[in-house]
Amino acid sequence: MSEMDELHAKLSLLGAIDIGIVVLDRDYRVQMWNEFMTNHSGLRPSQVRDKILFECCPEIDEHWFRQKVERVWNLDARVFITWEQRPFVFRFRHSRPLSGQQQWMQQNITLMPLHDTRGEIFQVGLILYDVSEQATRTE
Amino acid sequence: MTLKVTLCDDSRMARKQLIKSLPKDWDATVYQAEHGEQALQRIDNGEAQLLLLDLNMPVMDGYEVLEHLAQHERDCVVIVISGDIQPEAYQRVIKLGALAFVKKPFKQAEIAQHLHQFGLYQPGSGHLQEASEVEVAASALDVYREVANVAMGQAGDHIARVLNQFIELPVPNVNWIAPSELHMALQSIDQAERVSAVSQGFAGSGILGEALTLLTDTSVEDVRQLLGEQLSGTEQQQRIEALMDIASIITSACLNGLGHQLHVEFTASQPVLLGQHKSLADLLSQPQQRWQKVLAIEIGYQLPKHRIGFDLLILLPEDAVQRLDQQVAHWYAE
Repeated sequence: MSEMDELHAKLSLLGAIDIGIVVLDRDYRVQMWNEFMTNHSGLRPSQVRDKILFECCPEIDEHWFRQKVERVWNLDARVFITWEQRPFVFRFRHSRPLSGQQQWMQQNITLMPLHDTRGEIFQVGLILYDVSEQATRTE
Repeated sequence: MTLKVTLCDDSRMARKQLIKSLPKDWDATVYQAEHGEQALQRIDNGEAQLLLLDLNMPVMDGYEVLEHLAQHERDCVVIVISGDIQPEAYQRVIKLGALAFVKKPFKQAEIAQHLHQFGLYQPGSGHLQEASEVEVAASALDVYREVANVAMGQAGDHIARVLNQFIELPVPNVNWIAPSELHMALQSIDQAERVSAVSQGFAGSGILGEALTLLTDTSVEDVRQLLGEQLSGTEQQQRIEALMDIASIITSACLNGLGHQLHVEFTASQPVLLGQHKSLADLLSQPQQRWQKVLAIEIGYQLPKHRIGFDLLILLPEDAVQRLDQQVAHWYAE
């Protein structure tokens, strides 16, 4: 398998995975937006690339969300947001629009520092888990 | 003339490490003390013209030693060596008259630089000697205690920065316990209080463990007020957010600190709310006794200006500790 094939296989996996992946630079500009994010938001990567996250997704509580992301930059550590404290950050429809109990997808989010080869933080990665089922069971 | 030096640290491993990093060609004799009281004894015996002093210790801590020295004229200068890296700790120590503050973990050359800077050491001036004492071999538990001590300082610094408050660092408790005794491992929480807890699993190099963060209900409420406008939603949601924030900050920082020293990269999973407003016994009752014993690292942080206290409990099952033991064996084996 060539290196290109390998990269292609890895990218397909990243696309097919049932988890949202977003990468933000220091100015909150979107550097990566995987298929999960596209499928649920209707926004294609080309529409969000290099745009400020809050312009693409105006539903996000900017003041609050910035504090969480800034903490990743300041402490160089992961920050977690769980559905119990805030049911969702991105307003996505429940993945089963008809039989789902809630209207919106309940989300757990992990914000993590991404390091360059020198070990310095240069981007923040956002991982979004759909926890609607878990939230329904607990409630 | 040969300088008399006392190393004061409750961790045998830390003292050993420190001795190893002292310059070999230093005309000095080294004595040891396990806590502040022993250090004062050494000073009275004339065995501590220089005191290398840890801060967080049982019986009598480093601040108390410095306060005592500030009140009583003594022929003794002090360099503090501590894992408490909060700026306020540094300021307090310098105000109390310490010459310098060395942050743990330190680099080998750092100590010699400080000694040289203050005219306490000239290269090639003699030979470093240890006062003959019965030396008990350090054990793996000592290693974990010292590693926890350093990690605790880093986590405390993160919390202090987020809450903008000085955090009082404790002496971490490191012990083997049966899972059924979990609630007894929590020495800093009153058994009668209602508590809330968050759990995070963590893993690295096949070593799996769990980190529990526990806050009493009154502390959760106080943290909620301290974080104030950083939080959102209803009061109940704010309490959960406060709890999750504290938990993930100290867990991440502590695991980072532990992992860095043990050469394991730990990753924590999403925090899970274990329960709210429960008694300790209810919260920690474990129906499944999967493990005979677990290694428990308990760290109880306090915010002196508020009534806030929280406990971080890092739990490693037996098989994880076996792997870790191999990782740290070279630290105490000579």
